[in-house]
Amino acid sequence: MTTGPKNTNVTTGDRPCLVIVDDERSILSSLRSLLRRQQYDIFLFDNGYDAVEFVTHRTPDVIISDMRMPEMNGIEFLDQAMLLCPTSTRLMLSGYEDKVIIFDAIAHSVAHQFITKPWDDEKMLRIIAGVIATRQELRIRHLDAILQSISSLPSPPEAQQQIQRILRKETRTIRELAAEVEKVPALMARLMRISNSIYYSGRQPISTALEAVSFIGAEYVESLIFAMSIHHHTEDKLIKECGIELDDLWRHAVHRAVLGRSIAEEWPGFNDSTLAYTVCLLIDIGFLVRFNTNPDQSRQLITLSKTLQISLHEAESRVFTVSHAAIGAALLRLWNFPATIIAAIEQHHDDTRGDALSQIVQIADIVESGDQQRAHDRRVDPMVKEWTKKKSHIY
Amino acid sequence: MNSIESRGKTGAGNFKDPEEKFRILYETLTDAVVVFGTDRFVDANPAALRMFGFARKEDFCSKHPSDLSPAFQPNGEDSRALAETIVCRCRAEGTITFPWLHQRTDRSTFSAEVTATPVIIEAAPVLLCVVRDVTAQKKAHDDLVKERTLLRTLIDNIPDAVYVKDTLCRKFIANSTDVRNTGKRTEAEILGKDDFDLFPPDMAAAFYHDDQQVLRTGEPVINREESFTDSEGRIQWLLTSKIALRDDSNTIIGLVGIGHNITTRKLADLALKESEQRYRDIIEQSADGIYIMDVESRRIVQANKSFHQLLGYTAEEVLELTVYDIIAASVQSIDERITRIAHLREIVTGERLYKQKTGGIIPVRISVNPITFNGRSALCTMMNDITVQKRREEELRTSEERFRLISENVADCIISFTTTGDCLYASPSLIKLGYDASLLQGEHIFTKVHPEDLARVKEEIEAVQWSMAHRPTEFRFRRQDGSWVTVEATISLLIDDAGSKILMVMRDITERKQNEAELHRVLDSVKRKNEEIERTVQRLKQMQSGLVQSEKLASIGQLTAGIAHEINNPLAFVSSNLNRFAEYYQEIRTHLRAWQDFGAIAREQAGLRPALDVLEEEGVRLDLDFIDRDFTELMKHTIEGSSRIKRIVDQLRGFSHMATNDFTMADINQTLDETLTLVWNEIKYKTTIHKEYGSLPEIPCSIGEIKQVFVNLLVNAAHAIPEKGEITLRTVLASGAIRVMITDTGMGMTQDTIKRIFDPFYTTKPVGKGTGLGLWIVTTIMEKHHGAISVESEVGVGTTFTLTLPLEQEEAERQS
Repeated sequence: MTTGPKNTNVTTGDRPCLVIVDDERSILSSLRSLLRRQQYDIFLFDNGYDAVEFVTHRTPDVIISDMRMPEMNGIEFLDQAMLLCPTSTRLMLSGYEDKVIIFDAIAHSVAHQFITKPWDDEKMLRIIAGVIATRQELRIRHLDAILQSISSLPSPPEAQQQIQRILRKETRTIRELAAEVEKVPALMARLMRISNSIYYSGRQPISTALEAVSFIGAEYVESLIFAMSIHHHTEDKLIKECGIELDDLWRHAVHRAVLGRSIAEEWPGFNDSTLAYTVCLLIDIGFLVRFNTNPDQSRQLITLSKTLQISLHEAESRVFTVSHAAIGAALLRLWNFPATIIAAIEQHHDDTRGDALSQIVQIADIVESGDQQRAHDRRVDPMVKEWTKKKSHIY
Repeated sequence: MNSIESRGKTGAGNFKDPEEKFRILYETLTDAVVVFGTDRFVDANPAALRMFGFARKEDFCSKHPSDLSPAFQPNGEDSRALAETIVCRCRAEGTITFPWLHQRTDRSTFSAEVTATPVIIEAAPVLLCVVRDVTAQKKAHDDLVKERTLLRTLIDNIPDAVYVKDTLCRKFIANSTDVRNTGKRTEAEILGKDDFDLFPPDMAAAFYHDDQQVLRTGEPVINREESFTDSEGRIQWLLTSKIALRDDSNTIIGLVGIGHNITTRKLADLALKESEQRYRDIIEQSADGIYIMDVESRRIVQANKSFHQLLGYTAEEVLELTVYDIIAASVQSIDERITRIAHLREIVTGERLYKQKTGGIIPVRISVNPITFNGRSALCTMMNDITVQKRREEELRTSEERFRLISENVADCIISFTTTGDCLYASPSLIKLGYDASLLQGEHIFTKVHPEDLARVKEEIEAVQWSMAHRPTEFRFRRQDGSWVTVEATISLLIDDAGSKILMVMRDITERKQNEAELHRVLDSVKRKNEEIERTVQRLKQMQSGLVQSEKLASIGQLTAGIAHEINNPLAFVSSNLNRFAEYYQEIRTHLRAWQDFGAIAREQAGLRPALDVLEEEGVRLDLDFIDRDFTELMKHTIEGSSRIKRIVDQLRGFSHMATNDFTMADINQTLDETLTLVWNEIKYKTTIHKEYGSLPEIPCSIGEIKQVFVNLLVNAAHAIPEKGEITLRTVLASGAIRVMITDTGMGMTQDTIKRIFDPFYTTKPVGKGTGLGLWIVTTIMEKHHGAISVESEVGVGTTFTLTLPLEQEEAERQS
């Protein structure tokens, strides 16, 4: 079986570089045949060590690895890959695996996605193409470095309290758990990322907290929550710098989400109020990425916004070229969120083109922020007025 | 009139000559005489000149009366005009006398009385006027008039009636008050009348009598009370005094009467007398004995009838008594009391013992207040006999005493309280219940009852008031230290003068209760221990089988997982490669077609023809068309086959790992369908499937396990059908749960079999064919879901298994 070259004299070229690792060679050849026509540079390895060796010298765009392998298993390999080439997108491929292992791997970004064996050819092609397209996009926008290192969003001090509260409660149904998750945007984003990153045949994209919790299971969700509750002490510095603003942002996010859900419920012809909730919750994720990766920048932004009495978005548009909408969309794309959510988030400051979800999101955003001066689809103005009045009754 | 004598002295002359006589007279008269001619004075005697202040006659004689007068007379008339008028009158009528105000030369005026006579002197008609200065007289007259007026005014304004009668008792002066009294309006109407004219006969007679007395004796009648009826019919009282009126010679010429109106006073007096009488009556009628004691003498100065009766004295006897005679107490204490009351000047009440004439003592309730009687300090005492009351009190006290004696000596605790729960009495034995009885007084019984028992106790108290029967009850009573004792109590109703009371007799049964409780507990625990032992035995049995079972299941699970995984790899590349084969084949075939097309074109070159022929033959021999068609077909089937394998493996995988233990929301209809796919091969030959799916909500369940249940039941149903039959799947929404009915038209089961089918390791299949665990697993799974399974079967007809799954797990858990 051919293995990739071990030396460094390899032209990187423009073609995306794929590394596939599986102890079953038939799988390797099958994948190679599948991907032959895709203009990728494909390197196949039947064991982890060789693959590790390879990535030491060359950073692939995509790594696809089987789980069950003798000597070095998939997780171990991907762990190493995470250290050696952190910007590569890592996909897990497996016939069977304990779900907890899978969730953990995805939660910690050991793997970005999980695909089952047997896979659907079409889907496999789409996934890989999608990954590569996203990577290119991020590269173009210079977001790749930032986003690919993010495995989770910072959680503000207030959210910590909420998380503690959830943990203290007794056992609850999936619905109750989902309701709790909904209130903590970071947790929600995490669960959605995990659940959207796992491919089973017949599985639908996951857009709501309930779907995510149902899919992942209450037990794992709780362990995730527990992990979050201890994890965030390490991000103290960030919190100290932008703590209050983070709190604010999150609180607004939840309010906006509740508002969005209410608006969606009353919107004729629109039946997915929980989707609206999710979208409204996450539209300002881009700011969080900023906080997470560049506190100085963030402080600048906040100061600017306060001094000039303008919205964060306005301040951002004066200082940066890439908007938080774009960043947020890019991140969620990286996290395999459903396309509807990504689109709505990307456009939440633009013309909605009559799309119901986008309009709902804009209305919720404007009513919550009270910022009517921002660019938006003017058709929603009457509804903005109406909901501004109703706002106080909702929460 | 100057005496002629004096005149004669000064004047000389001869009186025998009349003219002379006249002249002398004229000259010496002290009265002024003037002669008025046609329009002026022509002569005046010296007296006149002197009167008017003229020195010479000549000055006087040219004057008109008006020159000797002020412009106007006192009556306001013009002097000149009036003078003329008088002159004319005199000339016409003769002598007239008239008053006139003259003015002297020094402009002082004087009043005169003028008498004018028309005479003829020396053949000329003149008026002879004598002018008398009447200033003094006038003054005196005026003074008199003034006095009289004053007097009259006085008389008229005196509020008293003032009148003067003559000797015939006729009124000749009466002031306005008197006029009013007689009912007339003016004095004129009265004057000249006597009392008989003015008053009714009997009144008048009385008045007349007094009048006569005064007139006759000259002694006044002072302050006689007279009454009469005035014009408005009201009775008026006068205090009249009549005094004899004497003239200078002390002859009685009449009488003066003064009547002072004392009607108001009289009426007041009468009213007072009336009220006094009333008061006296009240006192006299009062059932209470009332007496008045003079403080100084300590004597009874007045007493009413009741007092007499109370003490058994007569009215006369009573007045002989002193207060010491009637009060049964020491002199000192009596004196003390009297002093105190008299000095306090307040009403004092209390109970006392009084002595009767017979010597008996009666208890009375008294009320004493200091008064003034006949101008002396006195005490008025009202008293009533409370003998009966006292007796009753005594009786009550005795009975209470008896009661107290009983209750204090009884072992049980007795509490009495009002119907609203206020404690009235608590026996000292309450100390046994840890309560100081004295503290209970005034407290509310309900605060001592345990809140949980309170409603019941209140009910009993309510009930006893209606039924009057004794009500036994049990409740927890609070000790003083706050702890509770259980008491058995009998509640009964007590009715006395004061109303209804509740009586409660309590006994501490805490110990008894404890013993009872203890006994129960022991029995219970014994029973429970038995049950536990039984259960443990059961469980042990179950565990044993369970252990075996779960080991088996675990290994089955593992096996399934392992199998799934082992199959997945080759399945993955096989199915993926098949797609490649299809693609590659298409590409090759397209290319072959191209070659074939080229072959058709190459044919034109004769030299290539043979080689092409060979190829063509080869193609025909190979039956490329067929291969093409067949390949496509086979590829289609193969790909389909691999898809099916994928599906089966997916479903198996669903069983063994993903989300097996977690409950998620699932559509049971969908799950049933999925299971059907799974077992299709097992059942497709023998059975036709009928589906009657109801509209179901999603329910929480462990999908994998539910699928297991369905698999088992479907497979069993299929196995029950010997050759051909039907399986009906029906789902229905019931209240709070979903029901799934799986009916087969198989052999059916006997009652004995039915009893045992859920037992582990029970199977009707031949050895090796079945594990006998299927339905046992099913029941375990149903239990986990808080659902249920039941079966109906009839031999030769068929069997129906009914599964019940709750819509909500928490509710079902609570109920289980």
